[in-house]
Amino acid sequence: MKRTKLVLNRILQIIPILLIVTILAFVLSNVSAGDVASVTLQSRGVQVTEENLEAVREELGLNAPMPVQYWNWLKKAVCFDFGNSFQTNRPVSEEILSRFPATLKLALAATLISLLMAIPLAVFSARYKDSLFDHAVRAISSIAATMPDFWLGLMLLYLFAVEWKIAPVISGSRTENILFPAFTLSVANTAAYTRVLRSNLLDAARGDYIIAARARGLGKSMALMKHGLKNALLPLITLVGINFGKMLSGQVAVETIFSWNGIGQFAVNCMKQKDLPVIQGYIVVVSITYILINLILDLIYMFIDPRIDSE
Amino acid sequence: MKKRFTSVLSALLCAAVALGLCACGSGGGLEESASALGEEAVSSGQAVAADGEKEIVVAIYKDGAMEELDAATYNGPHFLFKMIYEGFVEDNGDGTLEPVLATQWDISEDGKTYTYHLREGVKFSDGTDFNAGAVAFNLKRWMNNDRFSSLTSYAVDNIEIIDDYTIAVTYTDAAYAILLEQTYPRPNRFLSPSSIENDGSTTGVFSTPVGTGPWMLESYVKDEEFTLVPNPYYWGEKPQVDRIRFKVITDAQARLLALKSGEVDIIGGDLMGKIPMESLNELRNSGEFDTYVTGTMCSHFISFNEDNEIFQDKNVRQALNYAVNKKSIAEDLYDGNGLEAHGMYQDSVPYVTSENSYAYPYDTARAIELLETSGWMDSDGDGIREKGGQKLSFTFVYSVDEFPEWKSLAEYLQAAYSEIGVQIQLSCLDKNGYADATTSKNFDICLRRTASDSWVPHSSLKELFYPYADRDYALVWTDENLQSMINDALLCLNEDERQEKYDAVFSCICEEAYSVPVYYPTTSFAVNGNKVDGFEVGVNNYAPVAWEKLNVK
Repeated sequence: MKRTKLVLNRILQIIPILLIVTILAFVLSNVSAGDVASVTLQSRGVQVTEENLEAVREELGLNAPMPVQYWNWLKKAVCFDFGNSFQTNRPVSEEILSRFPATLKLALAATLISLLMAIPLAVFSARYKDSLFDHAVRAISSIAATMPDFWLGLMLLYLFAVEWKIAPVISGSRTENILFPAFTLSVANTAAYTRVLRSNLLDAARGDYIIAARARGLGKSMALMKHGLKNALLPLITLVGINFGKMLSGQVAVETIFSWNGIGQFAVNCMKQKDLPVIQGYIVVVSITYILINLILDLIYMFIDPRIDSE
Repeated sequence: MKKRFTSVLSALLCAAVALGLCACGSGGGLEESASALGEEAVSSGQAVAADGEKEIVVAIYKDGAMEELDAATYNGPHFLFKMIYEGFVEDNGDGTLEPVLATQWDISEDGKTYTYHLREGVKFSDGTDFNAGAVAFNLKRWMNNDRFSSLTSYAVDNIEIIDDYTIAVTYTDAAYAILLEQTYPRPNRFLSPSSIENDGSTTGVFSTPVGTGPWMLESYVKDEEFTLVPNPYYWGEKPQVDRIRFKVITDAQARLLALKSGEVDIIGGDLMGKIPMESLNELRNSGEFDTYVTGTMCSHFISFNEDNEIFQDKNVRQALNYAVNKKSIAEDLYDGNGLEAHGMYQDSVPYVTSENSYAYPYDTARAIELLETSGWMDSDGDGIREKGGQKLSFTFVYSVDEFPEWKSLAEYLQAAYSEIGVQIQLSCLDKNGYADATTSKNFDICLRRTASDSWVPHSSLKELFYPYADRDYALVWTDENLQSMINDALLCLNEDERQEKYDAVFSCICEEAYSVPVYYPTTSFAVNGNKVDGFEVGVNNYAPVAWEKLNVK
């Protein structure tokens, strides 16, 4: 009962948050540099004259006061209709949705790679604390966490595509070429996850339940894996979730370097062109993604750790 | 609890499976064939199609926008219009015109009526005939449409089809540029009526590019790649290769890597995707690829805010000209990847001569003398001149969006001006911020560029020295006397008289020091010489490569 109430409560909270997000999206994108009408004319290659400006303002509905514009926009946005892109003249939702699968694929792959690398590294590092392996993992993860992704991406392309010719430079959003873009995207996260998980495991190792497990005769590794890992993973889930959300909002550097047609490149391009419907739609979609991920995280917490439920 | 934990783990596994499913789900016919070729390119290091077809792969920085390649709009990359479509005449790159779809033209005495004699036997790539009807169809789609009002050829009084291969067009104003504008990549191009939905309706929506040019569209995957093949009906010299494949690579370094990995054969070109300056030197020194660097018709210059009273003093404007070492910018700052600036327009621009357009020599002593004559002294010894309590200090606005090399240029100029006691505060803005600031006079000095190719000098002069759009001032300098001189030149139909009128225009710009020309950019290409034969840089930016001459070794 309690749990259902909690979930419902969380879902209801989404409404005011979304309202604030839409207002911010609308106001901020309108006040940033660049006159929408003249940028639109320029991107269409049309000469900027007083008459043309007026015609475009009329066409795009830019003459109404901002609250009116917002209300008109919100009415449609509720049904996921963000209008048409100023540039391509196609529906914004279509433009975003068509690029979303590529971004989702990349984010999933990067998260998977991060976890597959981070969990074993952290466990071994914690189990053999202060060993050479532990020191190496800590040193490498410090470097990896601060490595710029565009630099790493270009280096990987140089080695694997130019020198050894075992991968193409142009990934073209194809799943068979996902390894290097996903790996590039995963490196910084892997480092962060490894460090967090390692310190959580070390904390857990000092817990009473580990001592109890050891007293029951479980080996050090066994106790850590069976009882420590589960507790240590909990804080990591938040981090993974937030990073996953961040990746879903698009990764401009990795997408451009690997020619991966995701949502990040598209969004940045539209921001440069002041394509307001796309920017606003993008902000709303990204916000919803974040909110949903947070909701899912809370639910996962509840399932993994029943204590949260009972509190 | 155990169960719950395993369920999380299995969710992770599900994600992995989903990823695998994505792999199976994606990829239509076109995508698959493209990826097969891509793999082949990787394994063989070459991109020759399997059945011995000659194919050349070219990098392009953005999508080809094939579904909007309509000459009656301004959408899509310029250079594709010149590959797929043709106009009445073509630009030879030296200011002369070459007959294309019009073999001959007569101009009436008042300079308003042009009778075009069309080339006979020309077909569009869909097999339909090109004739006067097709010409009229295309003209009606864009003429007298305000969005083209910067062209003198947009205002048309009458179109008369005399016979199948003769058409007379009467323009509202007589201007010498009417014929020149026929070389523009758009809107003066002729599309097959079948390019438009509901064939033959001038108000129909564009659907697919069909022209009379040497190339036609074969396949197109949005944001990824497109291929052009020779038009079987082309009337002129046939292209040598069987296919040109354009691959979209947004990142400049990735384009370079794709050339090195053998995935593409040609990179570069201002409208196809620039080669970063530092990479160009590395490419040239390695000797692995053929590099081509040629001049353009564009100039980069400093522009003053005429509302700032300090700049109303000609001495200050001239001093800022004398203080810049243009030779050093081209040779040292840009490692020879640029040309030394002289006047505001390059010498290769029509009507520009070394007499009417010149540079102020690099002479800091003269610059200081001019500033001191105007009363700008450094009385408090802080290295910055002042007059009546006002410091000689300016905000310098620029952007690195279009030209990354403007960053080092701005820093160089800051140092050069501090040597004559002028303080510069650099302000690097994003694309929109830069456009806002430079069109609304929200700067003291800023970096700008001129237009290029057949837009110079006439369209560029109008753009920079005329009040435009919702502004009652000119972008560079509002001088009504200069405006009437430009207008006289534009409307002058006699070639010799026009030269005289342009002499007056360019001399005025130089003498008044309305700008500080700093640098003439170049355009560059890198080509895989082991595979590509017959590479030649095209006549201008709109025709960046002589595509028809390309061949595979």
